[in-house]
Amino acid sequence: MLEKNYLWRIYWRLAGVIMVCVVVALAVVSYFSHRVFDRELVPETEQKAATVAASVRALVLKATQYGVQFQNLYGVEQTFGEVFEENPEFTYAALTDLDGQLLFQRGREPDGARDYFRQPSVIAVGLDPTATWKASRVGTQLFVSMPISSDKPLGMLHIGIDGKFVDNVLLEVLLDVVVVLVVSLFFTLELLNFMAGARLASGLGEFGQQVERMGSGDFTATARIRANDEIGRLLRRIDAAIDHLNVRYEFLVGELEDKLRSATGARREALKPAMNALESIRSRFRFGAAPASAEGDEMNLNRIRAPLFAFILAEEMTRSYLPSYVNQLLVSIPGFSPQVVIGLPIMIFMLIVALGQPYLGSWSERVGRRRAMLIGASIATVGFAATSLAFNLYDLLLWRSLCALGYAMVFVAAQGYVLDRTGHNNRAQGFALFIGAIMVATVCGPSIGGILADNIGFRLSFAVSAFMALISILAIARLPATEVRSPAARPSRAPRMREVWALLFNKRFMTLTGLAAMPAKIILTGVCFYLVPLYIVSIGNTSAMAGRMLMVYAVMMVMIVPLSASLSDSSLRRDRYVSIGLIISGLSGMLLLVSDSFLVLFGVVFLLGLGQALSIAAQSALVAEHCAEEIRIYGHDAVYGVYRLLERLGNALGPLIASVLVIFWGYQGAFVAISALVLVCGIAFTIATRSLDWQPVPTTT
Amino acid sequence: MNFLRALLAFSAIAMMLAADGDAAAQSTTRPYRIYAITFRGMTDVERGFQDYFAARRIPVQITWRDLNREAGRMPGFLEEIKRTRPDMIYTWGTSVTLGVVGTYDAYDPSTHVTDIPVVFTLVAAPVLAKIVPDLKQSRRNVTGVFHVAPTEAQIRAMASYRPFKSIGILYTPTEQNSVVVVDEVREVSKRLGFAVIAKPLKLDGAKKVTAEGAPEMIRELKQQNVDWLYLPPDSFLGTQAKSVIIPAAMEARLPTFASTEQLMETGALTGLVSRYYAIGQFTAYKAEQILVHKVPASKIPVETLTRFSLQVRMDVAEALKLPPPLPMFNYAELLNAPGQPPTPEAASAAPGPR
Repeated sequence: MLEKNYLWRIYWRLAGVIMVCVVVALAVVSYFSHRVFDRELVPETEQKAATVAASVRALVLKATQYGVQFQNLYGVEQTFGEVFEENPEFTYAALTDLDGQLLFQRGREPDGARDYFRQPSVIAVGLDPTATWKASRVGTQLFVSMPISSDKPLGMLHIGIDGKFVDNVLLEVLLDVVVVLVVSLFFTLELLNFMAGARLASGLGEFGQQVERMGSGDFTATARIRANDEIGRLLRRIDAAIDHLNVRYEFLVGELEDKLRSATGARREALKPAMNALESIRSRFRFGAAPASAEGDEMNLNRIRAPLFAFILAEEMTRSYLPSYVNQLLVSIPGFSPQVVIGLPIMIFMLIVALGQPYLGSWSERVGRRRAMLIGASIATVGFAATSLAFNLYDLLLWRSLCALGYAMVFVAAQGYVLDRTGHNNRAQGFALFIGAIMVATVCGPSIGGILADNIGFRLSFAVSAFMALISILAIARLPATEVRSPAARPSRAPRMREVWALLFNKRFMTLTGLAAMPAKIILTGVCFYLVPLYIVSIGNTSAMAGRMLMVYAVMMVMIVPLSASLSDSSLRRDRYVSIGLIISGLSGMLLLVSDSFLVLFGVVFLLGLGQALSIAAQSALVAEHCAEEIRIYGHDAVYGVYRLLERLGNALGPLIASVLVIFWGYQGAFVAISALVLVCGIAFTIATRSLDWQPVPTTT
Repeated sequence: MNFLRALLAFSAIAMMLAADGDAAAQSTTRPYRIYAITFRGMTDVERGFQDYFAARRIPVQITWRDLNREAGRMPGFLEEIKRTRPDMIYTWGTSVTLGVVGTYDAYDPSTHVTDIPVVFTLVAAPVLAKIVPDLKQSRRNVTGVFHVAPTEAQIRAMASYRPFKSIGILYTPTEQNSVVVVDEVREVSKRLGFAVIAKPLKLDGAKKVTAEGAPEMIRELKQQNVDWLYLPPDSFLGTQAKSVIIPAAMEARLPTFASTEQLMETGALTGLVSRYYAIGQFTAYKAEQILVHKVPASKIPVETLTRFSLQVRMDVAEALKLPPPLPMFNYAELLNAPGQPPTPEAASAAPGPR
């Protein structure tokens, strides 16, 4: 029999080859485009400097034509200042006379500028009426020098371009290329999975079922429509063989019955062995038409992946620029500082998701997962479209609430979809798929969103999100309409208030939830969704840079979580992973004490991602480990329900805490303070769990 | 800076006003008859006034009369108005306007005109001169155009030419409009932080203002270290500027800042002014409202242009060795360049680098 894993191995090998091709192709394209850029950028910048210099020269000449002596010009520094304001890449400008004596200057004078002015080759340009301009490197700057002459030579104008500017632009381009590379990788994987993997999985599943049926002696003919691919054709040939077998069997039975009817006495006795043989065949194998089966594609988990990915992507794309967009639509709300108001849409979003989830779970059970997802995605689509047209902060809050409601609906229903279709043995696998789709979306979303926002603006970027959500509706509509209930899945329920209160005052439960789970979420939303996008833009960087930062976080999660999940199961105690994770997260913001450069911010996000990834898998497993007693009293659902609720309230608290910290200590201070909070929680958690010794309990979700 | 530049950007009001095209409603009927009284002969205001009607093809027949600074001529004009009954009266400056309509609280219906709409122009402060009680609605058969830029805009323009710590002002204490502007400058000085030394001109035995002692006052101001001499929209000062004030200031090497184009013409270094031509066009627009659109003058607000022109006399700048700052060459109107004087129009139309 054909080994199923064998085909999967081939699929993954194929996928690997495709990925390698994609990466190589992208790398080559990137390399060449980067080289072209490198070659073109410097001349382009020089050309721009020359154009600006020409306009300054025109002004100087106008002044001299109106009788102002070149040496007696006034307010030249003022003109230079205006030039710098409009062209931040120019850091120095100077006017010299024909001997290279400095008359006027503004900006950061590079080393060796005075010598440069007096170089014979430079003075020669000033005296040459036909000369246009000359570029040379002076210190760290790129100088564009231009002669000024009306009817006779007057002097020279020099504009200094910041050498770092060119490097920065090149770095920007390089980073964008890397982002595109990573995003394309994940996209390709996702598409490959959608187009080939899902079909392969369903084809293989069908094939496996057929082989299994035949192995167990079931040769009943199925009236299934087979796909027109390799496996489909194989199955059709098997179907044909089964049909043939069935015909032969019918023929045999008919012939025997005929003979039996016409035979008498001894002849009948002679047919007895044949009858017995037929009887034994009948007992061992089954023939005829198979009953219509509900089993099949409805069970395919893979089909949830594409719509979920598209939908989550729509939301994730807004992460890197939402705060900046809110900042633009800001209206002052009396009694609230603007910092808090900017965080408000994120807070409300998280709050709705947190509070909505327990109730939406049972709701989606009632209306059906597919319908719940359709409704959720439709609400979110309206929310995104309206957000892109938002008038001011007030209606924006309403539209963002719609997005949150839709998000919670789709999330819960998709989770339910996976729960419905998995048993105990394959639940972890099902959730891996569910989390996988979300992870990939968090890698791709913010970075694409940032690039979009920088190039087409906030409103159009939200329109793109609306379009993505619309696409997810179409993908959800293609999900099987029949609902499946797994025998393993119990009806879920929202935790009762009594249980919430009891657990809130339970020391063991709150040690884990209050000192680990909630701080982890607070630093996540506070830093990643609020502080990073705002701080990055406030120090003059772009939304694309904010997107890249968030991508670093997501990539860390994708890479480290599976690793730490398997490690924490085997080697160290889980609570040690949580401790280490929290402490690393808590140290991340401290980096801003060292420097306020955006490169340090990369380090912050890197450490934060590392810390979160280390602790996240262990955290929820720890609930079962630490709170076995509580689970016995209140039940698994209640304890996990309250745990998730509090964790998600942490999500909502993050932007609030961060914004209040910004009011008091500014952005850098807020980074440091929120990290310090998590660090303190991490240390407290370590101390609280140090002396305790629990028996590890197998992971459950 | 940008605020100032927007304010200063030289604009022709006609472009804004001519948008609705041809208003030749009366081409077949008789032209509108306008009786116009000037104070000191024809100026650019009248040119703009006439050009506006020509451009809009509004037929007007204007009877020009000049007071020539002699108040004694006024009764004759008033008599002629009552006899010929024009459709509208045009008055130039505060004196002429007051001579025709009187103040709103003390006019005499037997001598002053009340039944024919009057459109005044080039009145510095129509409310202070008691021509109208309120700029929004005159509540009498009078409307018009004033021509002085907001005081703060003038002060900022001065500062952008050369920053200063202290400014000196000469003014006529008997001219209410001057006194008020001096108060306004003091108000602005508190906000922007500079000193104001204002000196009233002397009055003679008959309580009449005289230019006597003005050059000494200017020298004193210079000794008190003022950086600028500000020339308020003052009628008497205007008559003395060319012969007494400006020469004394030049001698003391004190730069002068003019509040009106008239003062600018007497030889001030720079000033933020309304162009007379544009003022004339805007006045004609008010006249059109009355003549063509039949809007009562009492319902037409008294306004000024929203944009002003920063003028610099390059010959004065050269003499004082105070060239305008380089960025100002982008937007200022440069007059009387030594050597090769380009026309003001050519100067303001010259393409800037941006």
